[in-house]
Amino acid sequence: MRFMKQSLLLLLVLMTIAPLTTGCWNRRELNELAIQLGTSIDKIGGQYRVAVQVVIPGEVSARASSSGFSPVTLYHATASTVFEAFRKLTETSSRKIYSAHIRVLVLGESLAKDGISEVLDMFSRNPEARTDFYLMVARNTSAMQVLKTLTSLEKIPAENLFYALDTSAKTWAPTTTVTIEKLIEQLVTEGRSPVLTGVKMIGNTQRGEELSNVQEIDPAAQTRFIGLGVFRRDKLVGWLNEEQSKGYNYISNNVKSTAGHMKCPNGGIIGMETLRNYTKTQADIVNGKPIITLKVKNVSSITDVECQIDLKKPETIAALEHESELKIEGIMKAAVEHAKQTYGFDIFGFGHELYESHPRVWEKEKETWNEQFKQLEVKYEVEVKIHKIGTTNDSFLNYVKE
Amino acid sequence: MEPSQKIDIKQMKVLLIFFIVGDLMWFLPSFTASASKQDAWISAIIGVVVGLGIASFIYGFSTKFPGMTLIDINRRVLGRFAGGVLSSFYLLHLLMNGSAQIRVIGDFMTTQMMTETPMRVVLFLFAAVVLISIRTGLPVIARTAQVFFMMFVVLFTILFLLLVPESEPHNLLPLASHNTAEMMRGGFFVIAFPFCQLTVFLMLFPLLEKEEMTFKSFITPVLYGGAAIVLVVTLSILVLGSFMTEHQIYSTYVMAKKISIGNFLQRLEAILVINYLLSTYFKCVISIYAFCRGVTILFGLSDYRVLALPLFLTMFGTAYVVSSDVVFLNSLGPAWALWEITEFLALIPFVYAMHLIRSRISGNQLGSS
Amino acid sequence: MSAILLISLLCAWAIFRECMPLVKKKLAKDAVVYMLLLLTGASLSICNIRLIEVPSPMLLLQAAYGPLLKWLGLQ
Repeated sequence: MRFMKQSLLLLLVLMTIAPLTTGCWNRRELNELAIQLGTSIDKIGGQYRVAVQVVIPGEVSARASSSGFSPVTLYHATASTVFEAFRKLTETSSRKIYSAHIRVLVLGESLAKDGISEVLDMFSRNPEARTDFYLMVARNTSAMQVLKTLTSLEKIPAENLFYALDTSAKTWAPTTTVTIEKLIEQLVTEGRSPVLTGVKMIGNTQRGEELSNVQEIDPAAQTRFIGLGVFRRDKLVGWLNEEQSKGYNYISNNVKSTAGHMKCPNGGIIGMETLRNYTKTQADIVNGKPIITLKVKNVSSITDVECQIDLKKPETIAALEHESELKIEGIMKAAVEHAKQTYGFDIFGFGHELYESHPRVWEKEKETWNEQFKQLEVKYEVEVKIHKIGTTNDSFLNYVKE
Repeated sequence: MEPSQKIDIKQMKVLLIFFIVGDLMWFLPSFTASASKQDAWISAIIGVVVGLGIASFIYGFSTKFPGMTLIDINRRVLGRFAGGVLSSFYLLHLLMNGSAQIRVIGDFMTTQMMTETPMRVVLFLFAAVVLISIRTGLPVIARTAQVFFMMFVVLFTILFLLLVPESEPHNLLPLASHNTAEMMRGGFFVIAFPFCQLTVFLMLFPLLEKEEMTFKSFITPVLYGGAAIVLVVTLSILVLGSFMTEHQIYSTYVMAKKISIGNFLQRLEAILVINYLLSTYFKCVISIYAFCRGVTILFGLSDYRVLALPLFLTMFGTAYVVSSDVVFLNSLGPAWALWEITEFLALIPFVYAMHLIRSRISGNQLGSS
Repeated sequence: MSAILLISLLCAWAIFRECMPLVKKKLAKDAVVYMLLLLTGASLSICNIRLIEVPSPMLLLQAAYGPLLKWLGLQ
C-alpha cells in the first residue's frame, strides 16, 4: 500500500517536472524557425538595411528532387538599429529568424566607411549568435546583392561564400578569414588595425539573381574575393591590391599555402608553391629606437617550370631559393611602403608587437606611433627552403626537338 | 537530533573541493582580469597562496575548539549575548551567500540559454532542489557529492584538454607588466570568494564521524581547489584574451563555446554547464545547511529539518531581492569580497584574540590565586 | 492573484503539516522561529512572483564599503 502510494507520488512528480525540461517559454518548434545562413547589412540614408538569406529545407534536401525553385530566399528590412531590423524582418517572413547558424556577414562599403563597430555589438551580445562565421566587405556593390547571386556547386550561396573564403584563405595568400571575435580583439587592442576581405560581383548581376545563372555552364554572375580592406579604428580607409594583400598576409602570418612566380636566371618564369610559411614579428630597441624584424621561414616547392633551367644541379636550387627570398622580401616591402605612404598609420600591428615585448617603451612611444611608423626601420630576414620539385626532375622543355 | 548526521573524511574532502570550485566558474576570471588584465593568472596564483594561508589558519582555529561548531565557539568566547549577536550576523551572511548563488544560476540560465523564461521559474526549481537536499540531511548530500565527483573531474579534464588547442600563448604577453598593487587587487577576489568562505566548514567539522580531520586531509582538497582556480583563470586568458575575459559576463561559458575539434566535436558548452551548475549547487547547499544548523543551535531548537520549507520560501524571495538586475549583482563584486573578508576577520582572528586574552586573564587569576 | 493563492496554499500546508505538531509537542521556540521564517519567506516570495520592487539590502553593503573600496582603488 505504501509502495503504491510512493510510486504514484513519484509518477505525479515526474509528470509535472518532465514538461518543464523542454523549457516552456523558450520552446521553439523546428517548423517555426527560419534558419538564417547569411546576413548582409547596408547603411541606407542613416538607417540599417538588413537582408537575410534563409534556407528552404525542401529545396536543399538530397531526397526530394528540386522543383526548380531557388534553394534560398531573401528577406530584408530597414530600421534604425540592427536588432530592430531583425525583428522587422518578420513583417515579410512567415517565421521567426533563427540566427545561430549564420555563415557569413557581408557589410556594405558605405557602412564600412562610416564605422562598423555599432553593428558588431549586437553579434557580440546576442546569446544566440556564435563566433564561427566570417565577415567580409562588399566592393562596388551593395551587400544585399552579394547574397542574391545563385551559385552552382554549393546550393546555398552563403555556404558558397563561406567555403570560398575558407578555401581561398588556406590556398591563396591575398585573402584571409576574419571571425568576429578576432575583429573585436583587433579593434580594441592598441597598436592593431583590422582588415577584412573584400568581395566583388563580376558579370551581369541582374542575371545573377535568376535561376538561369546556374543553368548555364559559365554563370552570368559570380562573387569573387578581391583584396583586403584596411580599417582605421573602425572605418574603412582603402583597399590593398593583390600584391599588397599578399604582403600583408605574409607579415601577419596568415599564409598557409599560396602560389607565386619569379624570374628564371635565363629569362622566363618559374612557378612556386608555398607549402608552409611562418612569419615572426620581432620588435627590438636599438639605440633607443624601435626596429621591427620580420623573420620568415618558408618551405616551397617548384610547380611550374616555364623556362630553360637545369633542375638536376643543387646550385640551381640554391639560386632559386635565394631568388625566392628576394621575391618574398619584395612583396612584404611593397606592402609596408604602401602602408607608409598611402595610409600613414600602422596597419600591421607592429605597435602591439612592441607592446608585447617592451611594454614600457610602448607607453612612451604610443602617442606618436603613427609618425614613427612612417620612418620605422623594418628589417627582413627571409629563409626559403625548396624541398620538393614535383615528380619530374628536369623539365622536358629543355629537350623539345623538332 | 534524529537521524545521525555524521559524515566521513572522504566525503568532507569531496565537499571541500566542490565548495572551493563552486562559484569560481561564473565570475572569478572576469573579476581578476578586470584588475590585472593579462596578468590575471599571476593574481590567481598570489590569491591561492594567500588563501592557503587563510585555510591553514581556519584549520588551526578549529583544532583549538574540538567538537564545537562556530556558534558554540562564539558563545563560549564572547559570552552568550555577544556571541549570539555575532553569530546571527554570520548566519544572515550565509543566507545571503546561498541566495546569491541561486540568483547567479537564475541569471545565467536566462541570459545565455533560455532567454525568454522568466527568472522566477529557474529560481523556484533550484530552490526546490536545495529544499529537498536540506530535508534529507548531510550524509545524503555528501554521498551525492561522492557520486558526482567523478563526473565533475572527467568533465573538467575534458574542458581543459579540449581547450588547449584553442589557446594562444601570445595572449599572456607582455608578462608581468603590471605593478604589484594591481596584481594584488586581482588576487583580492581570489582570496575573498572561495577561501574566506571556508569558515562555513567550521559549522560542519563537528559532524565528522570517526576521527578528527588531520591538517593534510584538510589542506589537500583546498590545494586541489586552488589549482583548479589557477587553471580556469589561466585558460580563460589564454583562450579568450584579456579583453573578452573582462567584458563577457560569463567567460567560462564563452570559453566552452569555442571548443571545436576537427569540425565534429563542437557545441559542447551545454554539457560543461552541468559542471558549473553542480559545483554551485553544492556550495549553495552547504551554505544553507550551515544556516539551518546555525539557527537550530542558536535558538536551541529541537530539529533543524523543520525549518527547511520556510527557508525555501525565504531563499526564493531573497534570491529575487538581493539585486534588481545583472549589472547591480556584478557591480557588487568588490563590496561583497570586502564583506567576506571582514566576516572572516571578525570570526577567526578576532575571536581567537579574545580567546587568548580570556585564557590569559583566567590563567593569571588561576596562577595568582 | 495566482501567486498569492499558490503561496498561501503552500503556507497553509506547511502550517498544518509542520507547525501544528510542533505546537502539540509544546515546542514554543520552534513554532515561533518557524512562523517568523515562513512569514518572511512568504512575503518575499510574493514580491518575487508579482515582481514588486523591493530595495535590495545589498545597497546597505555598497554604502558601507564604498569609501573603503575607493581607497583601495577597486571601485
